Amino acid sequence: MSDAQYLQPAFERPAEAAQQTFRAALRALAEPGLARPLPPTPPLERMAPATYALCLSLLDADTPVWLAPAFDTPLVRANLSFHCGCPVVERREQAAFAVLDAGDLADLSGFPLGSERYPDQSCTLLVQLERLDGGEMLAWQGPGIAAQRQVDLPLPWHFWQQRALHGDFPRGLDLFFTAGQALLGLPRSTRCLAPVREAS
Amino acid sequence: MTALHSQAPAGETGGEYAFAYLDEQTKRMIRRGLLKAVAIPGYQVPFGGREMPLPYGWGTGGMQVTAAILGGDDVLKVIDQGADDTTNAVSIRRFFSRTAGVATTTRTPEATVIQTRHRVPETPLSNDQILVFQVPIPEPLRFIEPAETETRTMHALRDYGIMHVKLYEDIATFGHIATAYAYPVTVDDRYVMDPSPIPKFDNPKLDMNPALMLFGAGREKRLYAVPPYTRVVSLDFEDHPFAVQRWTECCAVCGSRDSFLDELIVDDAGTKRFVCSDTDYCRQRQQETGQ
Amino acid sequence: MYVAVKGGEQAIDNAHRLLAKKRRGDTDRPALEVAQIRQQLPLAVARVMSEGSLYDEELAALAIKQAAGDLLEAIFLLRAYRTTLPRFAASVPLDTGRMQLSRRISATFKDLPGGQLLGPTFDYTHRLLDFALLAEGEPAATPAESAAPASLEPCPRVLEMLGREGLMTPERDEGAAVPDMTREPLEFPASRAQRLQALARGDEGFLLALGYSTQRGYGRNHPFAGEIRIGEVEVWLETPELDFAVPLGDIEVTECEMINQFVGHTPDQAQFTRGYGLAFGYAERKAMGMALVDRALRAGEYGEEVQGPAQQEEFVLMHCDNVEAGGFVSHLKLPHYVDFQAELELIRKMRQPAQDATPTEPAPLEENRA
Repeated sequence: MSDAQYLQPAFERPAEAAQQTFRAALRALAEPGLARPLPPTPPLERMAPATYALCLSLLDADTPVWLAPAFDTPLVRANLSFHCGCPVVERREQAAFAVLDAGDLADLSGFPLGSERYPDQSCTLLVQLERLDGGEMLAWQGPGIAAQRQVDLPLPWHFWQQRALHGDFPRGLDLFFTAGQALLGLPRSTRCLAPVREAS
Repeated sequence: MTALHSQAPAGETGGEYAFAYLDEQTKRMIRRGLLKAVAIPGYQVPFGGREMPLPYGWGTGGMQVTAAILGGDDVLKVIDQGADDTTNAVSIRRFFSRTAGVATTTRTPEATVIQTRHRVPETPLSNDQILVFQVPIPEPLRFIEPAETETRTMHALRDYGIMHVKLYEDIATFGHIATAYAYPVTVDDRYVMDPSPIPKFDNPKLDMNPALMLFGAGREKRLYAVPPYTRVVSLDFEDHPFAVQRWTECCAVCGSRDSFLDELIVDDAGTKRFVCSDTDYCRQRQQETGQ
Repeated sequence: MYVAVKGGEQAIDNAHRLLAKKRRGDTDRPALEVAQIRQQLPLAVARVMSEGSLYDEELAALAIKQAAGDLLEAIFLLRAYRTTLPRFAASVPLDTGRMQLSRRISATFKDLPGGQLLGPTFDYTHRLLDFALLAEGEPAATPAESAAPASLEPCPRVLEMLGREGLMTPERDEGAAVPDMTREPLEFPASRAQRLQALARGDEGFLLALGYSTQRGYGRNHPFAGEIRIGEVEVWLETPELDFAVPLGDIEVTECEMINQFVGHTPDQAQFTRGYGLAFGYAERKAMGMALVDRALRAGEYGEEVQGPAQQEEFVLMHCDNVEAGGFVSHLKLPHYVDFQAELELIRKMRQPAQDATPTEPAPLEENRA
C-alpha cells in the first residue's frame, strides 16, 4: 500500500482551524483544569479529534514527536508526515511533543524536562483519555486559578507520582489532556493538592 | 541570479501576504513559544523572532504575538501611552486591519485582544481578554548585568541579590527606589520579570488580573507571559514599601482622580494641565458625567 | 483648552505623501530606473543584499530606490520581504575554489598559482573628484575592452596551499545541521556557524570599526590578508527527488581569508589561524572586517585572553545588526509621555525636602499599595 492510500483528511480550513485550536490550547494552559472545546476535526485512526487537532495545529518539521505504541501506526505516521511534516522519533529524549494514552502514564521518564537555564526546552505531552472527568477530585492551585479549582480527571494515582518525579519547577512537563473534541491543560506550574476528602 | 520573488508569499488570504502577515510556520513557532511562556510564568522564552515590516523597537515583538494569536472573530484595540490615537498605535492598528481584516475598536470592554505600549488600561479587564505588551528590554537584570549568559544563570539559580542591592543603593542615594517605570515584579513567587515600561502606577493591576497577559520582545527575541489570576508582586523593602504615583490634580477633562495623568504644558509661562493618559477611560467618564 | 497634538491617520498619510515627494525630487528630471540602480550602483546593491540576507539584485535596487538611497532602510525593506518567503531548502556549500574570478589578490605571496588579478578596484585610484562625471560624460579613460577574461582554470586558495604544508589549523566540518539564526534565537555561547551568519548580515561599519580596533591592540590577532577573491560561484541544490545536485545559477560573492597569529602547544606544532569573511556581491571592506572579527571571536577556541570588544561574542553578535540597532535607536522618537511623567513625578518627589518652599510645584502624593 502506498502512502497516498493512507492519507486522511485534516483541517478543512487549515489556517483558521489551527488558530482556533491554538487559542483553545493557550486558554487551557492559562487556566488549568478547565475543559475547552476545539473546532470540529476528523479523528485519525485511534487519535481522537482533539488530539489530532493539537497535532495539526502545533507540529511541524521543527518538532520531533514521540508516539506511544497505541498511536504508532503506519497510518498515523503517514498523515503526521504529510500534514505536519514532523519527524517521528524513536527515543523520548529527542521529543518536543509526545502523544500518549492513559496506559502510558505509569512511566513518564525520558522526556526532556528542560534545564534550569532553559526550562522551555521541555517536552509537551498530549495525553488522550476516554473522558475529562469522573476521576478522583483534586484541588488545583497556581497561576491561572483564582483560588482553587476542583478537577476530577480520570487518572491513575501513579500519574501524580510520575509528575512529581519528573518535575522540579521550573523544569517539568506540560500536559494537554484530550477526549473527543475537548482538551484540558495541566502546565508544570499547577500545584495539585491531595484529594479533597470530607472530614468524617 | 534572482530569487524567486515572482512567487507570492505563502498564505491563504490569496492576497499579497498571509493572514496577519506572518506565515503559518512562523505562527506555529511563536504559538509554541507562547504555550511554554504560559506554563512557566515570568520566564523569558527565546524565540526565532522575525523581521516585521515595522522597525525593531516600535512594537515588533507585540505585533508578532498579536499576529500569532489573532483570529477572524477577534476585536483588536491598540494603544500607545494609553491612547488609541497616537501615531504608532494608529499605524499598528492599520497594519492588522489591512493584513488580517479584523475588527478594531478603541473601547476597552469591546476588545478581545489589546496590544499596548507602556500602559495597562484603567478599565478593569475581563477573563475573555488578552493583553499583549510591547517590550523593549525583557531582561529586568539587564541594566545591572549586561551579559545574557550571566543573567540567565541568575534566573536559573533564582539569585536576585543584585536587584535588591541596586534598589537598596537607590534608597541610600536618593531616599527612594529610583525606578518609576519598568518596575520589576516577582511572578508567582519565582521569576523576577520586567513588566515592560509601564509606569509603576500600573503594576498593581498585573496582580491576579483576570486577563491573560502576553509579552513580546522582537529585537531581543523573547516571549513571556502572566496567566490570569497570577500573583505579581512589585519588589520592595519592609521599610520602603512599594507605592504608586498619585497627583494632587484631577484630569482636566473628565475629573478623574484615579487614573494616570499626562502632564501638558499649555502656555509659555509653563502653566500645567493634567489629562488622563487612557483616552478611552477618559471618554467613558465624560459620557457618564454628561460632559 | 490646549489639546495635546496626537497624530492620526491624516498625519501619517501626509507624512507618506511628503516622503514620496522628497524621494522623487524634481519631476523635471527623469525618474531613476531600478535597472539603472542595479547597473550603476552595484556596490550599494551588494551591501543591501549582504546585510539584507537575500541575493536578489533587482529587489535590492528597488529597495534602494524606495529608500531614497538610505541603505540601512533598504536593507530593512529587503529583510522584511525576505521574512515572508517560503524556505525550500539549503544549498550545497559554495565552492569558492571554483569561482570565476574577477579579482583575486594575496598580500602574503608575490606570485602564486593562478596569479594576482587586480580586477575592478578603487585601491589605486587617486581620490580626485572626476568632474567629467559631473558633466554627465564618460570618464576620461574609458574602460579598456581588452581586459583579459578571467582564467577558467580553478585557482587554488592560498590558505589551502598553506594547509597542505600543515601550516594552517584545519577547519573541521562537524557535519552537523547548519543552524539558521533567522529561525532560531541565538544562545550563548554561539557556534561558529551562528557567529559567521550573524557577521555576514552584520553592519559593515560596525565590523569595520571592530576589525580596526583589533589592529590597534584591542584584541590584536596579527592579520595578513592571505587572499581576497571576488567573482561568480555556482549555487547547487540537492533535492530529495533527485540523487544528484543541480545548479541553480551563479551569484557574485567576495571572500576574504585572513592568516592570523599562530598557535600550538609546542613550537613544532605551531600553525597559523584563520579569520573568514564572505559577503554577497562586490563587498571587500565588509568581507575584511568580518574576517578580522571572526578571528577575534575565536579567542576562546585558541585559549586567548579576551581583552577587546571585538573578542566579546555576546557584545559583538547582539549589536552588529543594523536593522535591530537602527530600530531601537529610532524608537526613542516614539512618545514616552507616560514614562517621562513617571520620572518627573519621581524627580520632583526626590527634590522635595530640599525645596519645600516652592509652592508652585504640585506635590504628588504617595499612596500605599492597594
